[in-house]
Amino acid sequence: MRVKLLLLASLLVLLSPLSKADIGSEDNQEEFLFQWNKDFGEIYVSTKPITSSEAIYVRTSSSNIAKGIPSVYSISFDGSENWRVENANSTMSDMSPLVFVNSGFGECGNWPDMVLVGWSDGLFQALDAHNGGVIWQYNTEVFAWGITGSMLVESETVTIPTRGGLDRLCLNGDLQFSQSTGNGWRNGVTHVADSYWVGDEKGNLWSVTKDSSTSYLIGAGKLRHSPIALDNGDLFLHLQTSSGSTWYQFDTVNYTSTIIGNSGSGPGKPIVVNGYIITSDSQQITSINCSPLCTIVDFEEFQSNGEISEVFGNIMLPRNTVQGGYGHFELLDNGELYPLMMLTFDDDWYGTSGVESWSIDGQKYQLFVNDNANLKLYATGPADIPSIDKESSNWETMLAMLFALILISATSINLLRERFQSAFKFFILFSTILLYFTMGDVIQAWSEFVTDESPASDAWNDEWPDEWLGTQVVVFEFTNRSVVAGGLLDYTTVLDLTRAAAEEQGLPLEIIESGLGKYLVSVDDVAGEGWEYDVNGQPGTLSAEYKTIDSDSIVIWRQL
Amino acid sequence: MFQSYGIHGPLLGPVTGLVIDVVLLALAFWMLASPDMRKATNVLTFITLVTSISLLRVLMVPLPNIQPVTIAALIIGAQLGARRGIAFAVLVSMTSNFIIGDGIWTLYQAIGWSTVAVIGSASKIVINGKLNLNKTYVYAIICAFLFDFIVSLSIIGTVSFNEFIIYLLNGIPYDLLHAVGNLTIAAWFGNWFNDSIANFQSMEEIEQTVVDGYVTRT
Repeated sequence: MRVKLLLLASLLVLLSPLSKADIGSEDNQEEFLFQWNKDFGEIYVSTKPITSSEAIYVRTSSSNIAKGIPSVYSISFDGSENWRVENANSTMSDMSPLVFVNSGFGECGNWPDMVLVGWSDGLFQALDAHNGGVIWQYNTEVFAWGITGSMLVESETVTIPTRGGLDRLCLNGDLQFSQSTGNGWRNGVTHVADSYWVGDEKGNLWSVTKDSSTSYLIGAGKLRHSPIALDNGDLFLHLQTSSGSTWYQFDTVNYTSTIIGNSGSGPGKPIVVNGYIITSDSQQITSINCSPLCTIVDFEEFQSNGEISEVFGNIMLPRNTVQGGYGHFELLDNGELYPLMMLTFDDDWYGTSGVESWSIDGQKYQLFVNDNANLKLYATGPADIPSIDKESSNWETMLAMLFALILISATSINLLRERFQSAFKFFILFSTILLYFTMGDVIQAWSEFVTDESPASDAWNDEWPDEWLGTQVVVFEFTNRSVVAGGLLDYTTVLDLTRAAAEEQGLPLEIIESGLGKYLVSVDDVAGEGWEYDVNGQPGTLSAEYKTIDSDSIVIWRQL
Repeated sequence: MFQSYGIHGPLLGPVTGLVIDVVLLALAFWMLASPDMRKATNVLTFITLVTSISLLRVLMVPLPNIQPVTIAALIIGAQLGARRGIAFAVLVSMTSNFIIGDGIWTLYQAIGWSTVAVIGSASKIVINGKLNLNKTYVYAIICAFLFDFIVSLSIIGTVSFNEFIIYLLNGIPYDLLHAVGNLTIAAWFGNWFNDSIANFQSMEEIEQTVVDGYVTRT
């Protein structure tokens, strides 16, 4: 009888989340239908498309001009191209989000509807939103790259995080002030307590005014997002560290920071949704409540390293893995995250671009684009083309949980019956399976803990262009030739970086799954006696899939 | 296979590879050259054992560092003695690596599992034909770490001492999985495997009795 009761209780526990999943998927999802797509070619898109009442604006990025010129496009809502502006000099990952500015006037004059563009070659342009004409432009400093961060538009000014500082311009192009900070990358700016706040690549938070620039060290790492302004005047920060990332709450009055917690590597750009801060990284999406002290409310396992979007009250974010797709989460009133589904498409690939969404007369629209640079519009309402391919992300987890529950139940039952040997059999089987499924994370975390990273300068080759300094570089050393790809940014593992480099150079890779992680079999159809890798001159000691790297790592693959 | 995931051991030329294979085979046959192994049934039984465990190892390759051979070598060493344990270890290493991937690591794996078999023979985990599971668990954990350490020695000569230490440290999660896997295999299949080998022994004894009886009558 006792056994039956235990089994019944186990089944009830197991079935409760299943019921919730069914309700969630029926109540919260509407059917979005494909409208059109626009493929920009062998180039990629790293930032969210934006919209005005008249058009869609999207920017492309490329580090190889032969594959396409980095451009800004204006596209009609029917998918046709209105205009494009190219910049062949901007080859260092254009990831500064576009900003649309409505026409207006102020103390510094008048301006029409504009699209503001920061380029990675340091050029800042105000483009006429209707025809793409350059209304004004401004050059910022360049060291390896120029503008990569998020600008801040206020009533009649735009503040630009440049490579090594902060420039504020009037919306007619007049410079108001320029201050130096540490070198930054993807480091947006926020205006709080009469100061502009921006992070840098050394873990400093800078407070900038017209007359001064002061730094506060948050921690050893990199600040790669716009600080989030909290209701009490504090700032929320997600610092990228060598072993993962750390959340901080920064007091802008006393200039002190408090650690909230730690998370995975490669943090994305946090946003605020319904009063909760949503962060992402290679490990999880997290909901944090900061009223007044920041505490972690909930998290779900998910890898995303780019932009997070609020889409019709829910959260969507691109999965930055080779499988790609978009995670879709509901943020409940109490701040808990509830996974709704994975959105998948035929062209899924790595991605960091957020999802643009809007609605007109009750019809909802969503724009998706990833590193494959294929812009897709989906909308609710009539269309005769197949709908978004929906895939439940939960069934594998459910199955694993069911099996785990059975093993734990069997262990408990045997313990109650004082059959200790049998209890041990089920317990050790459970432990093995648990360790097997968490092995990737365990290996990665352990490797970061025990490995002393070498600086990239140890492996730097003086023959490489200076533009590659501070970026990720991959070398494929064949027995009779070498192929080098540089200027790559923000890849978090050796395998991801290798895939990006090979794609850029047009080298097909053969990668197989194995028990010890993914294994690179051949490059450009050359297998030899195998391939091994170094990171900054240090031999790789585990699968490239699990080896995490820094933003300036140099990976060398050698054919044996 | 081992070479595929990190630092490679020294690369073997075809002649060196052949020499190592011949030495290993010679060692295995020398270890098998005991009186009872001259009987065809015993030889067939031993070949079945080697083939089945090799096949199991190949099938379990997708599971990282879960090695059924370690527990098999431990129990065979305990049941059948060090000589046949070593022969088993060498032949399983060679047979399975023929499919999984051959290289310098085959030599170190053969040494590793032979060491496990020798430890098994001295461990007294089998008393009166019965496997003492608690003792087996202790040896299963020790042998997992010992085997992995011996195999790690294969990269010596290609890396510095510091790199070797980092390599060993990086391998600890794999060692842990090997140990937990050993415990699982021992808990679930240890007794059954031990009884299976014990039955083979009994059959040998029966056969020997019949032969002795026939000789006595004639």
